Amino acid sequence: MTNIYIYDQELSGRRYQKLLERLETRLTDLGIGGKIYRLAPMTRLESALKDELAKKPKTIVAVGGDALISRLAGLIAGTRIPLGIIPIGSSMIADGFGITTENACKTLAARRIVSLDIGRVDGQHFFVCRAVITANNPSLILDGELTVEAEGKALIEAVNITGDEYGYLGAQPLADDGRLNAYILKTEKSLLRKDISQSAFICKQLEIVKGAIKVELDGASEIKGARSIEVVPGLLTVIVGKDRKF
Amino acid sequence: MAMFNKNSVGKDGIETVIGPSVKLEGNFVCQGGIVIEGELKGSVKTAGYLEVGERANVTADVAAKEARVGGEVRGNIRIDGYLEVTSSAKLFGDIEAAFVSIARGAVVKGKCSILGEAKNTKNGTPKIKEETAVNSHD
Repeated sequence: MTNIYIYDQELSGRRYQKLLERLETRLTDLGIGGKIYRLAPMTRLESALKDELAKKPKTIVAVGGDALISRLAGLIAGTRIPLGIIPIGSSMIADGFGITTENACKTLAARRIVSLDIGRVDGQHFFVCRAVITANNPSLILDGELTVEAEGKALIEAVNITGDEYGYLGAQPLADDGRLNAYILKTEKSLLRKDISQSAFICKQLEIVKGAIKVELDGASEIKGARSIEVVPGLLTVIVGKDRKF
Repeated sequence: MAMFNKNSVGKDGIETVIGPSVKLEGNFVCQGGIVIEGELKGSVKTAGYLEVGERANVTADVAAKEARVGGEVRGNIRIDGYLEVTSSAKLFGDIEAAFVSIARGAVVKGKCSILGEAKNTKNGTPKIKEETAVNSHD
């Protein structure tokens, strides 16, 4: 069994050459080197990985940012193949998992593996941390039972995992509780001031009946016309850092 | 998030917050605490703490472990422990709780049963210590 390293297409420039060489040397020193795939602009990640996934690799490692991590998480969800992360640049997901560029190789070698829930949008798009829905006069149904309506423009966030720095009200989102935390954020204007009001709910599934304009997944990819967001418990295995935030 | 009473939101176990200009409809059941600042229709039941804010509008039967009510509630209220009714509250329905305090200025229309410790007695029917029909409390 081998390790598969998927390099984000943005890393093909000379800017990252030295950093990647340094990381590769470190991985070899730790005895966890492996096969490298460098994504090009026209490469389809799904087809590149299809044969490799069939061979059941030891680890699939995303080397790059949140967009790549999120896509890979969706592709390997349910396979029990652990997802490793070497973040390059800022990454909300890696940050939540306690992984930095500096500690990533050591974290991979330590193989601290946890099973986590993963978010799913319309049965096919996945997210690890959160989906943000921009909406006008939104109407939602939570777990098929509760109708929630808000007036005016609102941001709805379906959160699977987060650190505690976001200032959300209510219960802390947990990555292994089989639930999503849903928040409705609205700007309330009065004569002299503008406040952000927040509503917080916990659910397993959230249906957007009306109002959705766009859905942004993990701050990285965007889909339009989404209708359903749900959590799939324990579908993703991830190698995490010891200082993870959940 | 300046719209909320920090004391209530910061209470341990608050799980759900219904903000102003948000409306929830349905039979809502949860284990954690609830803060309502908006509108709720249907029913609400929690094993935790419930706070109904001054501007909240609740048309529902309500059940909770403890509660502080400052808004309008149309429906019956059953609280296992202590119910605090603040001066801005308007309650239209029957109240049942172990302990109740009603502030001056609150409007309460319905039967009020204050059961004391008996409310939490598991064996047999709790003995009613005090039962009053209340029309208003100013």
